[in-house]
Amino acid sequence: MIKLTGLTKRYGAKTAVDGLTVEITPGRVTGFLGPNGAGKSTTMRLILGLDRPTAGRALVNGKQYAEHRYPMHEIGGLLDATAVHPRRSARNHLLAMAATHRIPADRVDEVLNAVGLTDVAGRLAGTFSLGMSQRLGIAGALLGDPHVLMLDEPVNGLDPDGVRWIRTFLREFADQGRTVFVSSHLMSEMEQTADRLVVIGRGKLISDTEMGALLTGSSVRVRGPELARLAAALAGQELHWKSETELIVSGLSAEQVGDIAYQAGVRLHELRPVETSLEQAYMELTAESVEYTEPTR
Amino acid sequence: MNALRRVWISEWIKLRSVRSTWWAVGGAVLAMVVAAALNGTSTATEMAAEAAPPGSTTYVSLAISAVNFVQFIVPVPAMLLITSEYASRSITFSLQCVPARTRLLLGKAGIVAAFGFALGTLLGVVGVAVGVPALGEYGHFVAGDTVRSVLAIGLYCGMISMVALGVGTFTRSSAATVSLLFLVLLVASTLLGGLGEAMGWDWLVTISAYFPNIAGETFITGSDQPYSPVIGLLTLSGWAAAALLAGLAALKTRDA
Repeated sequence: MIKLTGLTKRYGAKTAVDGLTVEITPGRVTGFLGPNGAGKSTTMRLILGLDRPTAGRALVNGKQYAEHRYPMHEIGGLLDATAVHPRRSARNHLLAMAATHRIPADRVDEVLNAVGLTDVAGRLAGTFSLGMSQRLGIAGALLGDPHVLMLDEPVNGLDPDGVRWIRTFLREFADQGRTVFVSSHLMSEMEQTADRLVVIGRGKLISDTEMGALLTGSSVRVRGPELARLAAALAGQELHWKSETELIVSGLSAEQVGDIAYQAGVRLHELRPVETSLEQAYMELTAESVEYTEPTR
Repeated sequence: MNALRRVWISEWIKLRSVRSTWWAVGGAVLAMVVAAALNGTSTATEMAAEAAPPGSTTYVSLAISAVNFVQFIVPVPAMLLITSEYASRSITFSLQCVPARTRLLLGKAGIVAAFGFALGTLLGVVGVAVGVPALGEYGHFVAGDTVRSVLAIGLYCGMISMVALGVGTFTRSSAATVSLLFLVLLVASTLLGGLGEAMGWDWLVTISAYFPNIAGETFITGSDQPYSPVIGLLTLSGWAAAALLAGLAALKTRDA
């Protein structure tokens, strides 16, 4: 469980994170979305105590990160998988991390195996591909067998195999009742991985919703042979004709449209809520908070 | 204490698991061998020309004079133990493992001090071992002095390793650290001392005597000039403490 309360970080005049209040709960995958420069990485750095918040608090399992005696048993964080000494072997990198928590070398070999790096454990980390580095980073995050896993852009630069591996991995981790907090700018990836979405823009919380609620827009697709009569009954609503037999109704739920059709005695062949794609929903949510805009020509 | 011990183990793994550490050890030993051999043979030649009596100098004096060269290699691993973490950004992993920043720096300091001491002592022994054949009959042992000087070289190397770690933590940059060390360990005392003498400013001459290289010389050689070995050791400890405190202040107050 991660709890942010009024979390704020300013760098000089620039406010990177602005009064963020949100709870990341166990048992599911929470996606963390936002345009570039929205403050996702800064938020994660604050959670791990790497940066000091200007105001507010970030608590991991009830305590600030640095207050934990054995923080790696609480939360496994991965901010930048390539931030490894390039001249140190993967195994030695993990051994040095493990030693700080008196985690035995057996556990190092175990996590190396879990992420599929056993065969290259002796290779220098600098020779790793981005995908291998991500796996090494996740191995490090898993060392302490933590209850919370927090990953910044873990699918960045991965091949389709690696992406699927991470997706399955996060799902299994959350299904064990643990907390997963994962940022990404790949909306399609989030759509398949996350149960819940926290969206920020310019450091502020834009939306904190279940994935389903975000994807279900407030419009309804109706098909039927007598739509003209339905349209009359829906007078005053925003209607959008797709064809003579297909109509999009905005501002009403499927239940409401169904009831109105029933009262008007209109036969329907199809009635269903229109799901917006996450990408579309995300664009609408963040349209006003993108840091950089396309250059005008 | 237990927590600190775990950091020592972790930092020792980091120190020994990169090749640059062992390049530095090899380089320092090589520098010691070459410096002691050259100095020893030329001293022996001079003494032969002057018909000096046998045993005019000590074997350990060769090791001592070579410290001037090896002191720029010995602290490199200590510096890299922190600056390479900033260069590769792996400092984020270190702070995730050890969020208590004072403990992290104390862990690193303990390891570089021990490593510097061990390497310095080894270099002293190597210097004496090379000195015996190089000086031949013109050298001699004063048993207590030899051991004392060799250990003093180790102590000096441990101290300047801590200085390097502190400066590296403060600057976060290898280039800046090397430049500053060069300035503090070699240039400053000579430059300020020379300037002070030329201008007749005695106070500047006094100040120039308190740089780490001069302070180290007093307790390595056991000389009473310009002050006692104890003052020398205290002065050097002051440098190490000041550098580590500056590094700690930066580590604690600045974002990683």
